[in-house]
Amino acid sequence: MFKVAVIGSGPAAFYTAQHLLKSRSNVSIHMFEKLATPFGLVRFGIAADHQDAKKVANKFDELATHYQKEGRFQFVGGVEVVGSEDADAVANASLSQRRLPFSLLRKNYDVVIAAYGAESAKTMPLKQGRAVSAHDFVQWVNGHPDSIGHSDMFAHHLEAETAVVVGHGNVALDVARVLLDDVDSLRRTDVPDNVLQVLAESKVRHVRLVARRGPFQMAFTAKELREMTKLPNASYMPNELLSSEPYKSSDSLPWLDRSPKRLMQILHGSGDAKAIKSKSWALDWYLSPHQILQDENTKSIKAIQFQKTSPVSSVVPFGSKIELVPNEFVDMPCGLVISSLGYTGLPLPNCSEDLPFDARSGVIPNIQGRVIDPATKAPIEGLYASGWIKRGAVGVIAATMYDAVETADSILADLETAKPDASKQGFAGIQAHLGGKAVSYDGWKVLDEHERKEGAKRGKLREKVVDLKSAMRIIDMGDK
Amino acid sequence: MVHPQLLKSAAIVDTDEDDNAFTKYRDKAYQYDDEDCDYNIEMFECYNIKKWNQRTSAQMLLGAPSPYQPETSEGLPQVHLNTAKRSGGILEDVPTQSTTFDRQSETVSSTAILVLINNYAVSYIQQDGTKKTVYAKDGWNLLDLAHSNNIELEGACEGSLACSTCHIVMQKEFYEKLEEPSDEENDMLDLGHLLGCSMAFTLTSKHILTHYQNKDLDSVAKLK
Repeated sequence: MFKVAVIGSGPAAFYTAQHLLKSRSNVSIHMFEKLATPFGLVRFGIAADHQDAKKVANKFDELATHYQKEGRFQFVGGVEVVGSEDADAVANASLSQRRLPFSLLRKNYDVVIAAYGAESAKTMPLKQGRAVSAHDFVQWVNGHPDSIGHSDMFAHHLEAETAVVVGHGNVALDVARVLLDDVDSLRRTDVPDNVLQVLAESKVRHVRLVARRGPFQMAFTAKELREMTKLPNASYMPNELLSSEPYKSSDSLPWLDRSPKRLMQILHGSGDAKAIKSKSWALDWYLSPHQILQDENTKSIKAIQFQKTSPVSSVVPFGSKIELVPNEFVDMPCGLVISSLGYTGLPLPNCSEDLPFDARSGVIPNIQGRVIDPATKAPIEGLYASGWIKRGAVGVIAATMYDAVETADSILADLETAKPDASKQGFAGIQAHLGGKAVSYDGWKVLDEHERKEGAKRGKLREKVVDLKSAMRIIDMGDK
Repeated sequence: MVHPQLLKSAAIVDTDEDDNAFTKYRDKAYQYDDEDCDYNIEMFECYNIKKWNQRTSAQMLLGAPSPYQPETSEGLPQVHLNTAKRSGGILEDVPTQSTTFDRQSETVSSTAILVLINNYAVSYIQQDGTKKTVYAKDGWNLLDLAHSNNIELEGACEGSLACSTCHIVMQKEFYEKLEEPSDEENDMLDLGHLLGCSMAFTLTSKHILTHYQNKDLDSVAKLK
């Protein structure tokens, strides 16, 4: 049996595991997860009003249950994989934060796959002031353990009437929808009760989505943008830039890709000045964030100052590498600024010697999922990467699925010529180091059932246990 | 994000060479037996499977109603490779191992890719290159049909048109016979830019089979 350790338990981890388990009967997988709960961004990233997209967790659940029965899959939750020196602190680690040295994984498993995603939000450089991160907002709405206690902070933020969201990607739309939609539309979902309370009190009426680049660089997907134009309570206020060339006639531009064309079609077909709803939203382009302006007395945000930009005139404003010229400054009044500039991967703590990391691109250097030595470009035996930590934080779940298959195919090809290493002990080799019980898949099922029951009492899908200690207590009581 | 391999492999079919091949072999097939349209369709289909297996994943074809009687099993009747006999064994040339696929098609192997013979019988080219033909009922979508016949086709959102993981590839000529997808479905096809060549098709809530029947059954006859 080849012993495979996967770090992370989101879509990349599960799709890679799925392909390996289904393709070979002599592979067993242990999935190491820092949090107590599996499924990564399916649980903590997908927007609460997109519950359909969360159904993929059912697939992962089937997979885990099936192969656990076969003895080829094990979930190891509440265990953070770190560098050796960090792991020495294992004795002091709290019940919920067990640490495992990466080197020990390498020693005990034939194959180690890094599939832990891109968990850090890119920060918005500002001369003055600090924006709220969309990452934190999404985590809070999704009941991520790191957002515990954030409700008071967000209650304060949501006293603003106008919110500016910087960034034109799907996360920005997720944020805007939560801010604009009627909170009642979220009451039956898995948004925690205390978050719903805060959202119900929100004063936000107007959201402006602003980007440094132009309309043809919008990174929305058509589905999400269309959904936005159909919000029942919020009108789309068209920006007059779209009535000018070349944006006006985007349909007939031969050099424009299908995707920006469709986004433009959606915008051109939307916006009805007569049907003013109680809330509204707008898109702005060619504005580079400069600083946040505060009221001198109350210290509350009164505006965000942008530097206007324009594309170099000799070039068509198309492609991600668009060149911009800075122009004059302009203030946009608002009470809340949220930055949504995307995510970047992080290295495992203190693992730089064992697991290469390219800080510039925020990914683990690899060729088709085979982790390579950045100096020699040679693959490091038995070490792989999958998902956002492999290719950067772009693409929807389908893209991660293809990506995971690529990594799994690389592994399968390498295993063709390999024999299981008898000295690799797998879980037996690390158990002593864990210093206690990790969260098993059955443990997660206990928490899952608890959350669903609590949800049912409230007429919701589930009521998430946000606090990690409470979650561990429920798991310990139920999973004997 | 663009998945270059998939885009590339899907785009291959959309070349003049293949279009010419399509026409040539369709016409040739019809010469054999003018009265038995179904036979001809099979010939043509087999040719394409054989040819495209060497270069891309597979494709999907629509043809005339099949004369084959389904064997009933577990709700949906199934037919297994009846076509092989009728088309002179050409199907035996179809690779049954994925090793005969090139690198591109291995990369897309997480999606099952199909050939639709007619509006009731659907042939799926599976990940290992083998073909499975099953019968559909009105209103079934291809995702449900695949799952109810143990054909692997990823469908992360369980057919709620939310994830775009259940892509299939179909033959361009027949793809164009379908009505325009709804805005909602078209939007999903933008995800990952998989539809750059209008060859990939999302099979979630769209009832392609019903859809095709309503559209124009005569169009199949016109192919002759």
